[in-house]
Amino acid sequence: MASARRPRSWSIVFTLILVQGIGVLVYGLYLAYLEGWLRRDPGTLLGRFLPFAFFKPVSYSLVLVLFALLALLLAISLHRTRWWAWTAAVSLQGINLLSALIEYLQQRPNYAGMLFGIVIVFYLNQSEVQEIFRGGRGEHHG
Amino acid sequence: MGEQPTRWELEILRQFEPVLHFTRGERFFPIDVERYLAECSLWMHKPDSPPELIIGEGEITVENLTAPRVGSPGTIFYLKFIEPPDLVDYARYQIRQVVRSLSQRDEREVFHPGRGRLARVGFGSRFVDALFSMTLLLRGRVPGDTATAAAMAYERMQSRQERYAYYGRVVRENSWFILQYWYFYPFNNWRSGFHGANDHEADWEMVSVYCYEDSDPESAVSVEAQLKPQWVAYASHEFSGDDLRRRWDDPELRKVITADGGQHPVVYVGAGSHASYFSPGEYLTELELPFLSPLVTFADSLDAFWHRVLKLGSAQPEKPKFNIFRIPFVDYARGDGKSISPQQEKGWEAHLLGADTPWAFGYRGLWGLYTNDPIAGENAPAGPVYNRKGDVRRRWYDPLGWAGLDKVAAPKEALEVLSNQSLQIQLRCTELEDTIEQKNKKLTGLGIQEAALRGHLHLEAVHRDHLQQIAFLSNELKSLKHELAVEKLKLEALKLQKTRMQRGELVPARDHIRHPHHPMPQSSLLLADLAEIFAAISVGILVLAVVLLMIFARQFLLLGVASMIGFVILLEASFRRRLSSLLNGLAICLAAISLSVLIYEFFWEIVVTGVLMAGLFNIFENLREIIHR
Repeated sequence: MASARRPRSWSIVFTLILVQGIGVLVYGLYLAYLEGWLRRDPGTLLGRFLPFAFFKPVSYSLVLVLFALLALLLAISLHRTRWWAWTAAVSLQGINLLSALIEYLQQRPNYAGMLFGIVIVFYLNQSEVQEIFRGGRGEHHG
Repeated sequence: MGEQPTRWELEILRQFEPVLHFTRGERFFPIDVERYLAECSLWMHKPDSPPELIIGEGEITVENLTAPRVGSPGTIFYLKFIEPPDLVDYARYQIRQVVRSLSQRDEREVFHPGRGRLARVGFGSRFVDALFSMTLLLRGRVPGDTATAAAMAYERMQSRQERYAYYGRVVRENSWFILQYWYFYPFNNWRSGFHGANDHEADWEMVSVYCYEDSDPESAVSVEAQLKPQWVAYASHEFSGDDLRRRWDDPELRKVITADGGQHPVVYVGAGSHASYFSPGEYLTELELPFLSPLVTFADSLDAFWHRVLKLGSAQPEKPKFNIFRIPFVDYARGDGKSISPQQEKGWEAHLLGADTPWAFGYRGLWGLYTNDPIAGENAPAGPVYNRKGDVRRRWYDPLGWAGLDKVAAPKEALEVLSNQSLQIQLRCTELEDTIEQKNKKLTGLGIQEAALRGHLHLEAVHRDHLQQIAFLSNELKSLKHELAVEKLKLEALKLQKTRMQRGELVPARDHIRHPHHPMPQSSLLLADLAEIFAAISVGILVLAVVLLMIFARQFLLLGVASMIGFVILLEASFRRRLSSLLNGLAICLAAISLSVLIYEFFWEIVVTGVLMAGLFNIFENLREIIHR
């Protein structure tokens, strides 16, 4: 399947997630550099939002780096047309959009993240992209 | 409506009378109306007044039932079949039922629901269903235990004499012989017996066989011997149109061929609902509540926008889509119970239904209890001829249109109809060609005149008038030429169709079906038993948890409710193998909200960028043209 002629939407999704992953990784590392590499930051996004003490010391930059690594892993999986990659990509974009909306409500808007999320969700829902990942899962999208 | 039934009509009906397969646990089978009427009383309901007895139980005759009656607006006449059961009889009957269900002999008569509707539909639908169940407390409804009392009365009738009856009607329309088989059931216990939508006294169902005369007019063979069945339509809830019918050679239509040459379509009857199906199985049927109609329409429009306008979502033919605001019910038409067929010793008792059937035409009231249910599901139906409001049923006055056959010619006359159509189109083409030629001449003449008038100042008004005439005529000619082109294409298509028909080729048997109603697959649930239990208890547990949160931790009420609903939805989506769809749905919602945020925050920037892009694109296109010149 991977070697077959790929539809344009599929290439766009792959490229966007790759760009998103690289962009967030660079931004996360830059923040980590500013923070003094994984210095504890009690005022993080997750720490403020979630009511669990566990998240409080987690550095925002670390969250970003993890997100970026996941996105890069997903980009590779999408490229190799792993059957679970579509669901994982949709979930990751859901998390991305949710956090972007929460940040917006907290007056720390991340419009670029929102725009990336919207475009990626749009292309993930193109029927030609869904067709590629349909096989072997016994489940229908959409 | 005024036809007199005759002997040959009965013979035709006998030739194709359907075989009915019921589901285990079905308690009511088609009977004759006389025995039912003998058990009924006649009542009158006036708005804001208590019901008034007109004729007491055991006193109804066809004459007094059909006597003319006048009532004030809103008055409803109805029969009442069941009185509250005697407690001793009721207890005795229930014990007998338990003993029966435990005995091996009657295991085939016991209904096992299997995996019910709750596990097959989403949490949202189950929540709406819970609301629907609660509305039964407010709406008029058939009282509890009525179904049991009706079953007792039915068994009593059958124990005196076991008979199964139908009422047959033969109608001739557009070269079709339409055979209607009407079945009367004394009670519909879909809700109380099979977890369905409603219970009501009396139930009229119908199956139609559409035949054509395949005969030589000179032949001495009787009409009934020359009839060939072509279509069959089964009544199913309130549906009508093309989807109801199957062609005689459709593999989905099962048939029994008897030794005497009779061909009998097989009907799988819904347990309790008595709706008719072509294949055995469990059918998901959706009920739309009037007050939820706007939400149903909104959800359908969103779905149409997503799939048709945005062209997003799966491209492969999907399983039937369900709207969460419609309430799903399972109609069990398994065909694993009793059968009634012409071959049996206790087979069909055929009665003719026609102008000399006074109860069918003379009585316009309901055939069972009127419960004052605004949704009407629990009110009894009227007879075979009338709707509840007293107007004539479409399937009675328009049996062809009811099954979408009014546009279909009978095979014997199809070729003739086609030739007539071709001839008509040919004539129209000739007429159009003549008109076009005349108008063409007129137009060229006007063109010459206009050229001659041009430049003469004193004739400027005449010139302007000529220009208008030319424009008008030119437009007219364009329309005529377009019509001619279309007519010629139609003529070609008809010629092709004629060749196919002469070769004996038929169009595919299922081409007319737009929304086939298939039984639900059995094995689509993950950990089916656990899913079923979860489906049964999840709404109730959620409600209890909300109450506990309100009492003990009100500060976490919103977060708690949201988390619980999220957890339930996730778990259920996993059971139903729909986790991926759920996550996608959530992502789409978040994307829609984010898009709204972006539009709100950057409205003018988006407008300016759009205009800028349009301008740049225009410049780019024009420059490209110059460069490539």
